[in-house]
Amino acid sequence: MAAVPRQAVSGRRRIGRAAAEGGSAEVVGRRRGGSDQAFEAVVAAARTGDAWAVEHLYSALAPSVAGFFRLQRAPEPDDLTSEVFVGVLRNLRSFRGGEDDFRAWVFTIAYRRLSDARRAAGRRPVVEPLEVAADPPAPEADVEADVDRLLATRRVRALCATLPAAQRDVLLLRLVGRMTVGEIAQVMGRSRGAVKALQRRGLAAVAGSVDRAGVRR
Amino acid sequence: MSRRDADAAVEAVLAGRDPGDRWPGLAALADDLRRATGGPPPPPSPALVAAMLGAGRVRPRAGRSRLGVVARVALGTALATSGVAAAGAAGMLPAAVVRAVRPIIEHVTPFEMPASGAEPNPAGAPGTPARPAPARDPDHPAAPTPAPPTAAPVPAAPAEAGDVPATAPPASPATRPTPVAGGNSHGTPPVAGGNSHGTPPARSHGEPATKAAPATPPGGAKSQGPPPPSSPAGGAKSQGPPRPSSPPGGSMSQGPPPPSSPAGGAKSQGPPRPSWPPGGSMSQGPPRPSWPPAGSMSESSPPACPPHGGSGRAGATGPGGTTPPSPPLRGARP
Repeated sequence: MAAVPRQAVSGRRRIGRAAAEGGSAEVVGRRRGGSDQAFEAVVAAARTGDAWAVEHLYSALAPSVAGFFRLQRAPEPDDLTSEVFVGVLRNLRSFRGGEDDFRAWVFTIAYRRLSDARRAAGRRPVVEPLEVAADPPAPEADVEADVDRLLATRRVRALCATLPAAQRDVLLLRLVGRMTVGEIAQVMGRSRGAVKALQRRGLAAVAGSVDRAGVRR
Repeated sequence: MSRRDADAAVEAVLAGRDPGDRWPGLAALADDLRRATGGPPPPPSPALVAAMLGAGRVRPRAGRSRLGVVARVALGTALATSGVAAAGAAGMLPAAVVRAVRPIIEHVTPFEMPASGAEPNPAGAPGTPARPAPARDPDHPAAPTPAPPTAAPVPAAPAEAGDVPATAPPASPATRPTPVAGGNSHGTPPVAGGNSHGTPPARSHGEPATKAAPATPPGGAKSQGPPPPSSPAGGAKSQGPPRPSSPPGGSMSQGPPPPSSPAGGAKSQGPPRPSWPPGGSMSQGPPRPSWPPAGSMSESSPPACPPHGGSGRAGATGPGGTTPPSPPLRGARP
């Protein structure tokens, strides 16, 4: 990777850290500060074609996007993730906003790609996806972290399998994509009230499954 | 548990706070989600690598046309129209198709499609090309013969231009400002085209000729005069050897048409535009092709129209453009 300006590094740390500082997601989503300036510097560099900036954006958001696809049982989640970022790079010049807006924008593209993939899958013979297997660990990889991630993925997938698609979409966009209710309503073509209702029912289903299974950990 | 409680709990989780006991499992779900969506990014696909390398030079998608819908429709319509017009001009379309598309083509484009032999003649109806040849069909010896050969030099009878070449071809162009297509049908068999407006396709003349041949009336053109020397070549198809249209006592009876008549060259010279030489010079030179337009059709047709009553379509009108021969025409149809 090329030399990375300090601003870019701070921006990358900010990306994905979400609302760790506290406050509601809505408030965090509108927060602007010095890190936003760093993020804007990264985006501006990515617009001009700087490879380091593009790589930063990809490294910051690609894991979440790929995880979103895996949890949705999308076919070829890695390929879909690449498609999402191809679209991001193609339309990066038209993007305006801060870090949270960028994240919401990326997940909006991801959700649309997922919808396309679902429609395409409806026209093709049903193929049972393989179980998600972790990539072979690199020599310096943290095996414990890999196993922990794999187990967490299985749990979440088992839980999401009990949810209707709309509730699962809302919960994952809300918790993984960190999108606001309004943003989810817009991307799903529903009203805010409908999205909130789906969210509430999804959380109730999650709570019910936890009650039945007992304390998981 | 209201919607507001659920939203507040989610926001608390996103903020890293405890959502409370009202939503058991939410904190664990959020924790699992955080782990499941962490880790290294997936390897980028080749397309993404290429996009990353050329991030600043990403081009719009290839293959997407920049033409709007309206432009595409207009372009397609224009292409289709021109294609049909070209095919019609080349005589590659069946008569029924020509009949169907001719009004459209002639309305939209400056070109005129050639009349097909199978087309029923609406007796000089405006907007439809006249078909004088069938009118002079030998089947109908009694068909009104518009112009006697002697009247040819008269400027008022250009419609019977056929007479003109028989009697005084060279003089006619100078004296008669408006040579009319219909003239060919009477005097010079090869000219029979009669289609002063469009290029008379060989077929159009051939059909009536072949039908008329056996039924040559006693006073018909055949008996009265031999076909012009040039006609044999195009005789069967393009001109129809007999001049069915020539009335008894018509120009044919007076003598064979001059060899210089453009009809003789029928096929080799291209579609005979006998009736349409701008100067009325049927005998002066090779017929002018009526299509390709060269902008000529629309410009040259006006002079020819007046004698025909302004219809612009030739042979349907009698000499002087006053008497439409339609009744005999219809009767003449087999």
